[in-house]
Amino acid sequence: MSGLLFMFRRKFSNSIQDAYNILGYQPEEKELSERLYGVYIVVILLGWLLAMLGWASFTVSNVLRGLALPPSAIDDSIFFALALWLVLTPGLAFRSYNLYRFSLADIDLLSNMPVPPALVAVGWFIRSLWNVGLGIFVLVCAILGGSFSYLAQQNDWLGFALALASGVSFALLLSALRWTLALLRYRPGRSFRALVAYGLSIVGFGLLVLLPQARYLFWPASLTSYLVVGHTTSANDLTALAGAMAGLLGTTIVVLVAMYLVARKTLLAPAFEGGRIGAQLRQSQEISAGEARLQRYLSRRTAKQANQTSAKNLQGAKLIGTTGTLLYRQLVRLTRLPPYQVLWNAFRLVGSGAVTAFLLAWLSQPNQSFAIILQVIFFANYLLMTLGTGLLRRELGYFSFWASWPVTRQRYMLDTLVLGFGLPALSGEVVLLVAGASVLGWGVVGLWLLLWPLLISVNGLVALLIYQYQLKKWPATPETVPKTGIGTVIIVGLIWLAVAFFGPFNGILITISILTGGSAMLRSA
Amino acid sequence: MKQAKADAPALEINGLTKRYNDRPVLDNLTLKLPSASLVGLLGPNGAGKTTLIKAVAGLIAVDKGQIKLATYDLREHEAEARSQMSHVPDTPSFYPELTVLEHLELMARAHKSLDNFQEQSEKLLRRFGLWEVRHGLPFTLSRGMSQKLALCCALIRPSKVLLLDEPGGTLDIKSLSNLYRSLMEYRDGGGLAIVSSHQWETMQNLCDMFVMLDQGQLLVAGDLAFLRESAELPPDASLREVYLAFTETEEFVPLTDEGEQTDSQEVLL
Repeated sequence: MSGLLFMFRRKFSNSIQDAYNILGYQPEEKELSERLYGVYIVVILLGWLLAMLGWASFTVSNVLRGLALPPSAIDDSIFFALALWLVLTPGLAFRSYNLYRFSLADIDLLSNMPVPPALVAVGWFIRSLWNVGLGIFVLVCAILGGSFSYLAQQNDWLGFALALASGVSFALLLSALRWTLALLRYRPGRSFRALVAYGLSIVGFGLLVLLPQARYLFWPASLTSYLVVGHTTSANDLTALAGAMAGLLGTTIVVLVAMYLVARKTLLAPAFEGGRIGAQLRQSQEISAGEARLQRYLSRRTAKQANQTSAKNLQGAKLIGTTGTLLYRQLVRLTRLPPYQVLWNAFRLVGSGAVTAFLLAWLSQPNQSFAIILQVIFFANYLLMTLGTGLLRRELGYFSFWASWPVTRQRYMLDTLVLGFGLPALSGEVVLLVAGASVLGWGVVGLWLLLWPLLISVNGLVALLIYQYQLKKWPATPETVPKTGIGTVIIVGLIWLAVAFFGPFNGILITISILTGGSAMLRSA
Repeated sequence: MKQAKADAPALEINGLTKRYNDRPVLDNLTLKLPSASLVGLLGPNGAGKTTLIKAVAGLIAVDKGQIKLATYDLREHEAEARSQMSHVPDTPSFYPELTVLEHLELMARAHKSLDNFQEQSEKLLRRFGLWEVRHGLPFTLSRGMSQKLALCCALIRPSKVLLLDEPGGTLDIKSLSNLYRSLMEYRDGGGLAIVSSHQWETMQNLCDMFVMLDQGQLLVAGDLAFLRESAELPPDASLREVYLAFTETEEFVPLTDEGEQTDSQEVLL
């Protein structure tokens, strides 16, 4: 037990120490001034957090008011989305590789500890909750709850808190359900087979779409959507709210207990083995849990001889030289990825460019809220920089290849960034053309057709400069490949803000100046 | 520092300095190595061997100094310099979605050397026992096989300088002998191969020259006869003896009591 606690303590203490380093707080100091500084930091951070959440709720409320969508329609949509997640859970559980999130050291520690399987499984489960996706889900629930309560002129803080609690409960419930089903795979004799997993999901989807009483059948989704939005369609009934919350929490507790009971009869050896393979893959190549899952997928394909290619055909291809080879590799990668991953990646790359370009052009019209522009710019840049530099970051890790390619490192990085930012730039341009010909008109869109690729180029250039600087300190190991980080998002965000503030025409001049100056910096680097 | 004369250097290093947090890992290193030679890079753990190889491969930025690969300055003519060099790291990483054969093809494509690729790749893969797994994915390979794949990738296209960071550590006996045969072929073809290794006896038999580093500094560079002479050792002294003469050996710290310590030392020696 103490081993499990040690494992978690180590993870938390690393994160907390990082935060201390950033804030300059020294917890080992016993002086009153240092203690007061600690209190000051907590107050400031909490205040800032509340202010940001309040601001986000307020902004979302304004957008929703502008869209004039009826809350009941939103309630139905949220219910459907949550219920869909619920029915997909058995299928997801069959392909769940949550153990891949553990480091090899954790797996070794766990497998050598004299701890009952149920306790280890619970430890794994808690660790798997440390997930950005779940955090975003809960936050979105909370902001939507606060926003709809505000629109309905109800207590928006209560709405926020209710939605937050229901979001947490629903996320816990689904994670526990997924783990319960995933653990069934490791039970002796009664393995959780593909037919059962996918069958359950398909039947569940059918019932969700066809059954008029779907709201009763998928009650956790129904209760959550009620607690987030549904309750704002009528006057607040505290009994109904309390009942809904109790129902949701009760269901969550039942699923958690079920998970514990299933875990007691689970064979952990195969689970450890699965986890160890995933951890080894991640450790040897510094890849994410998702990438490790991809490798398992590829190994199954290999077993079916699906990776065999005709060398003769490939030799006939014209993609040679460093740029051509880089492109060739990406094309081969696309043919090997699972279809859903190709679609998801394409959706993110195309969607991020298309939505951002359209929003920027639309919001550049007079009388638009600068607060909304500010948030669009921050989130869009976070997404664009993450997606745009993702390829470069991955490629840099394979240095035994590019180190001996006949190309400068700067040119190699530039080519990779062009591939990373190319699709968002292209999709944004296409959407602007369509918007210019239809909803927004050429008067609004005209200059944006030139400004959009310039802005994306600025992002690429800033990323290149930051990487150039960071690589000077890089010890050339795959696990230490640098990230651009939030600082880069802030830099490009400020440039975009200046463009939004001074208008498209001046924006073109600003971006051209930055590109010229940045190119000069690159040449001198 | 002592260094034998070297003509027509395939690799030239002048005043190379690299520091990590003010700690010098390479300290004003100057070295010239000729083409058509096999050079053993020797030194204790932490001497700077891997850092030197990474610096020559253009993977890490150095604080000071100049590196020339086949007369091309790595800073000023980076692309040309890189095209002359092949690098095999101690722990190679491979693209998870490409097969063994495709990794070789990738390297050949980048260097536009797809002529005779099929014959060349088959020959190399058969030599290193990877032909049967050519359609397999790299993460299904053992560590030794991964090392062999990295070697094949380095040898699939022409180069003038080959950098190998502890290549034999995970190879079986047959693969090792194939590696040595390949290195000798490489040398006979006019290339310079630099091999970092702790396998003294093999290095002694294999290499024409040796470079000894310690604490980022060059202790000595030259052939074995020159090293013996520099260390004032008899002509039949082994490379191990030369190495021990040049480096300070750490005192053996016993983990058991006094009596057992004596026995252990006897066994070790």
